[in-house]
Amino acid sequence: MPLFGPTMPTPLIDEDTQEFWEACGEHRLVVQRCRVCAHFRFAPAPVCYHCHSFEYEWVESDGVGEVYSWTVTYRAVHPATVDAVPYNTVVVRLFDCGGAMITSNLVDVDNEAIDAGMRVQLWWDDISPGVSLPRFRPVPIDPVG
Amino acid sequence: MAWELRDKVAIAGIGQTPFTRPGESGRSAFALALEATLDACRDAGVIPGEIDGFVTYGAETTDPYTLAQTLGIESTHYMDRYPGGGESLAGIIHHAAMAIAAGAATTVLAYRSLSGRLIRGSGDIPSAARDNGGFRRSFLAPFGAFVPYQYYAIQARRHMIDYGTTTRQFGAYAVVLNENAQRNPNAIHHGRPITVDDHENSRMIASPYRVYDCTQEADGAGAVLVVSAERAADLRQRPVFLLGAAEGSGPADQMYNQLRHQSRWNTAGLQEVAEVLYQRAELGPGDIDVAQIFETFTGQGIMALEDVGFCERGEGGPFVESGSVSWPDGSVPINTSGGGLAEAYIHGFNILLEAVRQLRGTSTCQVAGAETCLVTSGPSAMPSSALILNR
Repeated sequence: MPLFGPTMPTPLIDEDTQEFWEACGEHRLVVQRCRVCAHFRFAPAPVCYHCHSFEYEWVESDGVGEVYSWTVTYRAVHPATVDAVPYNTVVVRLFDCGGAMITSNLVDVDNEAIDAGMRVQLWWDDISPGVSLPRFRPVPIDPVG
Repeated sequence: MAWELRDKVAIAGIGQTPFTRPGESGRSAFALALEATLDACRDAGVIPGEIDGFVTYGAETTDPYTLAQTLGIESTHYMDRYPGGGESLAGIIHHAAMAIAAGAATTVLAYRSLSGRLIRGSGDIPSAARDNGGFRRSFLAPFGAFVPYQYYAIQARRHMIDYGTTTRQFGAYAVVLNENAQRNPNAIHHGRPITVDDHENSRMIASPYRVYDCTQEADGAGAVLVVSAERAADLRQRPVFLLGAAEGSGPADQMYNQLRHQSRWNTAGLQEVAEVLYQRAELGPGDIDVAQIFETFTGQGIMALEDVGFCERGEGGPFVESGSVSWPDGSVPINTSGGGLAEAYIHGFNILLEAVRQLRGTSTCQVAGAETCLVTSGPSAMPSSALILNR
């Protein structure tokens, strides 16, 4: 069952973000890395904030990270979220790709159990043909350690 | 080149409308802006035709030229908007001062008007469609983050994680402002004091934020007249001088400019602005007698107190809880009219009016002998601004 209603906004795709969303459609979470100075940047941007080069490459993330911060929304802002409240929005810091921070949602979790440092992994939400959103789920704790 | 505006310009008049709950005034923001403008002119003893400059927020709906035309002002020389929303509050006074010092204008009106809810729960995505690369629209909205109370809740949560700040400390901040509002008949929360327990039991909006963490949206407008210090001496009111002003932003280590300050989500982003401000005013945080902090939400107010150096980083919660910002006995009383949480949310403009009243000695929560007042603008939204006024 979808997280949100059918009128939920979907990404606006432009020249600067097209490659990112195309990769998502192929279930690859990618982060831009400057070809000159190797600084990562997210969200996608035309130029490196550090050295100002326009040359970049896409680096695929393993999709594992931790919860950096979060909120649980109780008061629906958008009609598509009326049946979803209370729902979480989390900021995930990836363990790779320069610690890029991605705003997303956690699925398969009790909102009360969300905590800073919670380890999470990527889960693809196929919201329409060719459009997939990177969401996350808690990493199951290995009982053996 | 040194900043050369210290004591050169003054606020000579203040004006406002009544503040009501959003939508309850039955009046347009335009009508409210006109009323506040005329009120400021009466206060200063200036006829509207003398206004030759207009400064307002980027987000303001009342166009400066339309305002001038409607008032029959036949000769204008300067108009300007500061980028964004609540970040503009002190910045527009700075811009007015620069225009006056440069000789571009003599009598500059700064104003802000609001009618109806700024952020409707209607499905609109306010101001999100065309920001940098559609960031909010594409990278926040599909994940359910649409509006400031959500973004700022995420930042407040990070302050709790890093420093152990508690929701009861957020509540203590709300209680301070609501107590001040009990003495201000024009405050929307007048007659309705709250306790920390009321805060803790209020409706959850976006955790950790509850209703009493959020600003009180309102219908209303405010206006001030900025003139040279020499001209102010000839006008009706005791001048309130601009001692220092600063605007801008600090570093953000990565690209994440809408959920701001990826590297420092636990600040209000005002630290660098405050450093420049104190240098220009030739003062430090210990010299401030009273402060007006535009908080938008309790946690951002607490972070702003840290940014401006009233307490150490991470100590904002205990600082508020200990009574340090309470009127009248705190070391630096804040938001003495009730501020954005309890008087009204006029995008911060009402706290500028209160700063002037403090330095005229006419506040309903007057700080005895107040000579300096700090005003900070929208937290966690860049570029922001701040100023210090004195008498």
